[in-house]
Amino acid sequence: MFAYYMEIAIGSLWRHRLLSGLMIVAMALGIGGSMTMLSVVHVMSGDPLPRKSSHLYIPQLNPLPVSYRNDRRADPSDNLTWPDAKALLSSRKADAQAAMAGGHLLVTPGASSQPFYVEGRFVTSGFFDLFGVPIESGHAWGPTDDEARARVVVLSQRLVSRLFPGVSALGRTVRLGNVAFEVVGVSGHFDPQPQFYGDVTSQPFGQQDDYFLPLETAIDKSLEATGNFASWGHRGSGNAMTSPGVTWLQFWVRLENPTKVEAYRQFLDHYWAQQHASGRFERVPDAKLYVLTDWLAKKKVVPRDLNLQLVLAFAFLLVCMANTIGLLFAKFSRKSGEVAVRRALGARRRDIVCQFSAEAVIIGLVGGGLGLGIAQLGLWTIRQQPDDYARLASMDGWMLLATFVLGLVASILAAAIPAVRTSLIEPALQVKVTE
Amino acid sequence: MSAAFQFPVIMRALKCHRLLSVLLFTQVAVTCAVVTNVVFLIAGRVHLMNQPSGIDESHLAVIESERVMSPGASIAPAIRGDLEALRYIPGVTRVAVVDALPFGHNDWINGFTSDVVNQGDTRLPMEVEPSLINGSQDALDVLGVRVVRGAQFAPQDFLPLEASSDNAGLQKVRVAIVTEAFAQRMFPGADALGRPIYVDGHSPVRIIGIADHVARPNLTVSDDNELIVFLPLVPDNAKALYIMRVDGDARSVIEAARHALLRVTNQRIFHRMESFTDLRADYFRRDAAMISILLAIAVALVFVNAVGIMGLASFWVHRRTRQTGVRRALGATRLSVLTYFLQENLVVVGGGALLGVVLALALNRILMAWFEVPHLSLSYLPVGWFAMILIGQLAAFVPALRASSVDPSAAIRG
Repeated sequence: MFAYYMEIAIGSLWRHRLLSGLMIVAMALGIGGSMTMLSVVHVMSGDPLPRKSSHLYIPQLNPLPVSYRNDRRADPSDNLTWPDAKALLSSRKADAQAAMAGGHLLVTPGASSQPFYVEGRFVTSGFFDLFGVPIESGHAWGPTDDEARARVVVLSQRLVSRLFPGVSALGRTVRLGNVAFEVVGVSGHFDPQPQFYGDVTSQPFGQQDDYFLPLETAIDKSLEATGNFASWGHRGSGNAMTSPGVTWLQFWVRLENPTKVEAYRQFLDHYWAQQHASGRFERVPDAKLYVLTDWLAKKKVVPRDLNLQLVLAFAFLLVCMANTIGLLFAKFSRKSGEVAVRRALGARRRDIVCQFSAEAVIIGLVGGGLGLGIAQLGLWTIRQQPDDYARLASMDGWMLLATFVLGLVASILAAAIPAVRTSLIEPALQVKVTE
Repeated sequence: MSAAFQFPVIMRALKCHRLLSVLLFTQVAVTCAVVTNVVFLIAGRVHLMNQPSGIDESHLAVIESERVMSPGASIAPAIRGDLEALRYIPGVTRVAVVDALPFGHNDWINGFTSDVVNQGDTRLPMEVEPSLINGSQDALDVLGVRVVRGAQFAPQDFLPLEASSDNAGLQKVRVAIVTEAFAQRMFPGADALGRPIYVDGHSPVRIIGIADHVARPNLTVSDDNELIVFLPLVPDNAKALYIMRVDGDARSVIEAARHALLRVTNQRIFHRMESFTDLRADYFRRDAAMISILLAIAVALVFVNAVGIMGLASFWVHRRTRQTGVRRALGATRLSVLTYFLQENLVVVGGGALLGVVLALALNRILMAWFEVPHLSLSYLPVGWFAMILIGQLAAFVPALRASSVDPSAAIRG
């Protein structure tokens, strides 16, 4: 029976080519527009480190004085001071832990080639194990190197092929921010998007680290860190990076089960209470521990504009569907005679609904297919934009599937009202009127 | 039957198809509201992109280079050397160094007052915060800034900026050329030429020339976009913006300029190498992209809407083939049938668009709350309303024409 309905539907669509074409284009525009936006939002709210993210937590302390007035978008208590980071590091209460900060450094390869700037990170030795950064050759550094402020660096494959094309980088010297570092390791592919472990208030998308060097070495050499530096009570003298009155470090821990999470929470509150008792923290203990995905949601890394555009795109799809409803009404109404005859010959209402829905399914499938093309075009257009998230705009398998499901559901919904209305035709009355 | 307006008849007809009428009415209202706002936003962006830079944009090449030097090395001679190297490139007629350009992003905004500010002053003089553009001797000439009144800078006016000592040159400079917009803001209704203005409220600088239009490195709000002060301070920052006036295509000298500078030394980073035309396009890239997105939304909505109107009109026409036949049989002309259906469309679309006008105002309020969107100019409302009606009439024309060609015998055939 289904094949028969399909045959009727195709014949009927072909007879009204123009009308069918317009309906298909309207559906395709609606589906294409909403799938473009849905794909962008889907990619941007995706999990930056699948399989690992559920064990990664960011502890939050608030050492700011009660009187501290924050008039900027970034919250200074997102980051830690060096003394607090150091205390959490040496407690070793988590399964893995690291403190880190971004660095924008000048690379001076020597007299024969041009200098350039690279983005990378100042990290403590636990960083590589914490996030599972693959080391392709050589090795990372250990806690003793941290303390010794060793001038060692792990470079990305991308930077290595730029600095030392065709030769092994291990053991070579690279000048970063006018300090000579020895290359001890080369990291493999590590490009979580958004770059959740950095300062997510500035530019969390489209960034990739090209080097990792010991945080304590960076502090020792006063290498320039990027991100939000917020200070209070710190007066000019001395290194701001080690001041107990300057927050600038991101700190992440890995906690492998709920018991450990609870224990770590208590540890943080305990630490805060100690600092409060000693008079350093003015606020009463209220430590927070966010799991990675909650942290990204809290910091609203997906721009609000995008969510608004998504809503608009779906509103547009609704307008397109309203249209298709109207057009299908127009179309089905011409068949009232045919329906009356079929009903008189014993077709049930259900049969009529099925017959007309078959047409909607075809419109949905073709519209969905065309919409897929429109969505690809839309995503391509977005990739040409200067926004930092633009290069991520593409469709994965789930989105491909979702497009077809959306096309089917939208067109069946659009067909339901007219199909049901048509099936309500009274057989006798219509036969009498039409013939 | 006359072609006169048949409002009560139309209302009765619409009532018979309540669901479809409401569907079409709402769709028209939403489209009208969205499209009016979208067109308004597009017009705003287009206006922004038409902001004149005030300089001669064609045949101008820009190179931003950062010298990497050992600590303590002096940058001023290095910049002079770079300028010398650029001067001899074939096709380059004049060169200069500046520290900012219209649409160039790097923006140094500094406060000036119309009188000295002393501590404890209760009545404060006028204060204006222009963007500074400092340059070497030929800078204004290379840029093509039109000094419409007063004089150009004389060679002895030029001083080093002294970027490494907190831009100390700013406190020593004695003359300035300002834009008309700045002069008007600082001395409303008076002639600014020859008057002193005060850097940060204390060191006096005399206005010796007035330029007509020059845009800021970063545009803000429209009345503030041309507040510019030119000072005869030769930039000596590590990052230098070299500008070159070129015979022929500005892009053609970029490669030669890059090589020339690299021959001087390769210990430098190029942050920018492009023609001014490209720099301008780059500055407005986001706006251009936004315009095309908004345009796509508007066109798609209008298209979908027209399709809907057309479909429903043909549905109605078809449903009433018999009535139309009866009317024709009773003596209605083809024209009156055509106008009847067009009027019916006018009632639904016109009514929907009227609601759309109200919705457009509401949508504008919502956008204003969320984004930096200005008040919807009221002149857009009647235009939007009329445009919707026109689209509706055009979309309904073909089905209405079909109705008018219904044969009177349809009345008996059913």
